[in-house]
Amino acid sequence: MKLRIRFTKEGPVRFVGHLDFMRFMQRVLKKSGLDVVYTGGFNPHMILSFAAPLGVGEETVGDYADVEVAYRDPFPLNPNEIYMMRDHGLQNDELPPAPPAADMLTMLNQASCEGVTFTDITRIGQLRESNAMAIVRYASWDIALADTFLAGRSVEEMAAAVMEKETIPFRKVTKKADKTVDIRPLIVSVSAPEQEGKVIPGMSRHLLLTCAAGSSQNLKPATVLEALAADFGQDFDPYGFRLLRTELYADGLVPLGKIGEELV
Amino acid sequence: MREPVLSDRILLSVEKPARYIGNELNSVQKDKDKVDIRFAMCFPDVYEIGMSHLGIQIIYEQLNRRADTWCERVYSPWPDLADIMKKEHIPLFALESQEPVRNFDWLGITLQYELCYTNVLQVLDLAGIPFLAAEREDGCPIVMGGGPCTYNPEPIAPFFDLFYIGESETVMDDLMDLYKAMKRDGYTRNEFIHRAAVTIPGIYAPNLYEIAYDEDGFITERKPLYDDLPKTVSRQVCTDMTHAVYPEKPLVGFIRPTQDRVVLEIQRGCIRGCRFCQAGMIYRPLRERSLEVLEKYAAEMLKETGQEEISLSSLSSSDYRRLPELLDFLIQTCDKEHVNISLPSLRIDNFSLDIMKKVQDVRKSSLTFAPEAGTQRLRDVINKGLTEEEIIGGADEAFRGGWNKVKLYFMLGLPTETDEDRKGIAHLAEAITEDYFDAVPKEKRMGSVDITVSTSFFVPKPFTPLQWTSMHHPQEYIDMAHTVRNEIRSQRNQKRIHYKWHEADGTELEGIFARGDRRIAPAIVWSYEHGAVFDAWTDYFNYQIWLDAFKACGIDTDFYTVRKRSTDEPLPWDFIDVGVSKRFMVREWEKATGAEAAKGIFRERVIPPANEYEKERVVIDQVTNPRVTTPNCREACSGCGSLCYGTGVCYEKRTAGYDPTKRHPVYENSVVQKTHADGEAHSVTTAQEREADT
Repeated sequence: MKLRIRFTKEGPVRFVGHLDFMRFMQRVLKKSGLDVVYTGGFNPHMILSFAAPLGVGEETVGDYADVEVAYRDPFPLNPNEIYMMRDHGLQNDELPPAPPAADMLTMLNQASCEGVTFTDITRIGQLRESNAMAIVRYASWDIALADTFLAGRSVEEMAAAVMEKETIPFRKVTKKADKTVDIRPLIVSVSAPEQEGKVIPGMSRHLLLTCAAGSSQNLKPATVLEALAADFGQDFDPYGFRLLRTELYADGLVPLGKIGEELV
Repeated sequence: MREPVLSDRILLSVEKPARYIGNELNSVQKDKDKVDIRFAMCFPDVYEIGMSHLGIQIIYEQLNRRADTWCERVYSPWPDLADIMKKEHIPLFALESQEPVRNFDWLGITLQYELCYTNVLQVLDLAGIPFLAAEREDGCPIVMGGGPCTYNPEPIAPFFDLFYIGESETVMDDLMDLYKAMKRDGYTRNEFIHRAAVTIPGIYAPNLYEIAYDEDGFITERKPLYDDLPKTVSRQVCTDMTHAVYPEKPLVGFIRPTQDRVVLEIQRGCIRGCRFCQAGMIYRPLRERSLEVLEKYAAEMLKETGQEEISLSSLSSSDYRRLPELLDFLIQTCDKEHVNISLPSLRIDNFSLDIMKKVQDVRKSSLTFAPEAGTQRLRDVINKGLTEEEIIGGADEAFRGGWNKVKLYFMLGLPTETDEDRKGIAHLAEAITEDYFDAVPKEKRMGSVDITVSTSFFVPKPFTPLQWTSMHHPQEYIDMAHTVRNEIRSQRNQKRIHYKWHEADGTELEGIFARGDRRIAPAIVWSYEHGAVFDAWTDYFNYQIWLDAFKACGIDTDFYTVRKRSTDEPLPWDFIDVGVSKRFMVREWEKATGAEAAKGIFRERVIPPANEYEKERVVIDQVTNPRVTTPNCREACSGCGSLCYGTGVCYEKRTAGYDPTKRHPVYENSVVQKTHADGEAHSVTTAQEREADT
């Protein structure tokens, strides 16, 4: 059975890079006692994939990982799915039933460290088209702004400055190329939060952003802030904000966790 | 959740910020207001190295089991962060609480290699602790050193309040209890240091002794400042490995430590008696853990860490008597759990090759042999109980088993070594290469044979029989390496043999530290203040700073390196009693360097013709000389003195009715206060018994 697990990564652990975090997740899965399926061959590894990497220093309360576990899938499988399981040497009827979803979450949380919490678990089946990494299109961010960052500007002002524009040209300079791209089509919304955000000393303003994420099109929140700074004619401080990812979506802004079947 | 003490701005601008955040799996959080003792345990090197170290994990477990103590970890900040911390006046902090080390009760520093000495100063400097113990005031953490380098702690003695000589499983709790009581009763720092040194065996307070030297630079007297201080400090030995504390929930780093695996210490000590090896002497006697407890630890540790690899740790795993059963258990458990097994320090024979084939991918792995010397004569001198026959036989089996990558480790600069021995390295590598073509028929060869020869330069270490060896100047070392390189180049299969050698400058420095005395200390401070740090890292090592430092401090380095030492000169580490007696060392040294050892023994071997077209061949083998070598502890007792600990290999397989405790005073709980004379008396009898037997 393939599971999609929703997790958080908050606090000090935000400084763990993506590759190291993937290793950490493998440890947690192993330690949890869940029966995870491995690939064959001389170098077996867990069948585990992440929806989208997080940068060093970024937090999340809504990221997803897909993992194959050796439990009986209670949902009907199509022939293609049965074939895929057989690929890993598994026969659905012969597998034991999975522990209840709440128990699986408890097992994971007990194995984990502070700041990495598992909050939801769904069954997504074996279909390639449901793979988190392949279907992620958008991400929502809660950006905490240092009081010195774009000082004197309100969050409403910033939201308006983005939302009112039809195009936002942004000059990208890399080692290979120097080109100007329009980032406006990649932005879904920028707004002021309705509720109080996380309290971080020296960062009293929060800005909400929903923008493209994933392998086909991707926009870094920092790029939006840099464009804003340019628009306001102010300096851009690359350390003047903290990023918290709040959700990942597939096409049509459907959260990834709403795609599979609920487990009891 | 404890936010990192470093700001996001700093953490995002340094390399690998996850080194500094703590919060790893199985790290311990406590309420600081509910503990009496705050202990910062430091490995003075970068996080990835320090996290690979088993000793710290043992101490971490041991101290954190105490409800009154919170042990946290400290590693050397990498130079990028160290610069920022100095510039912005951020004091060094411990990982768990992220609080300044300066506010702790203890700073324990493990000293695993000499080239970390400047990192010790960096740690003190960043923590805001004066370099010199004499300048520390009440309220400053007690700075204590432990680990192999404490077997000659003199070059760094001024920087430490205490040294812990021996294994943490023994008197650590006594030390903490004493500290807690004296802290409660309001004693001063100095009063505690004095009391600890007097009442707790194995605890050495270096600054309570004054050293006097004669005009030739030799030590004439070690004068204790108080009458009640002991003249000698005895190494503390854990007498019951099976029931000793062990980290069943080891820490798991977020970033990959150098040794990213669960470590199972199967035994401590070694029976082999290689004369160059400090670990082989200072961890005597060999003490095995029971199979049952090892199986339990292995299962528990894998469960608690989610690690995907387990490694057996010991100086010579093949000498663990129940290795086959242990490996059977591990193979069964690990196969189910998708865990790899790594098996370092195995002797290469049929059994170990069989096991290795089961646990690893033969195609990818290489086999490592450590003949250490190129000729049998020199291998006898260092008592490396390995014959050419065994080396080539092992390689032969390995080639037949499908391996075609072999690594060979050697040392250069050993006592009595000549160019003949250096060239022998090339000849041995060539013989192994040629064996490949004999062992593996053409149609079965997968890729070509690949032999890597590595040499390092020998550094004599305290408490080894070779501790009197004269070292060489860096240029002479380089010349030795060139001799090897040139000889390898003139071999028939030279293209299949790769040769690597170590830098010589670091060797000289290591040699100065290893056998130095207190007069070295100012040069360490001078070097640190002029930018030396991370000397064990080639990228950071700058020998010129050290040359300048020795000059500035008026230190003649030749006195510590190339000078010829006699066995009756007083050594800076003579005040430590490691159990192995000096008389044993002298005897070993004389065997190694005496007239008998200078000549090799050769034997003709006739190889019958393989077919009618070949002629009979005669080869000359160099064979081992039993008058130069010393048998291993299981073959025969050589009376080294460690019988006094009342445990381990010394008490295996004795005849019925033999009770060594009758003849040797053995004290409870490993606190051994014996005299060498007893150990020696025994050695004479065993030697006589042995002769009578044969």
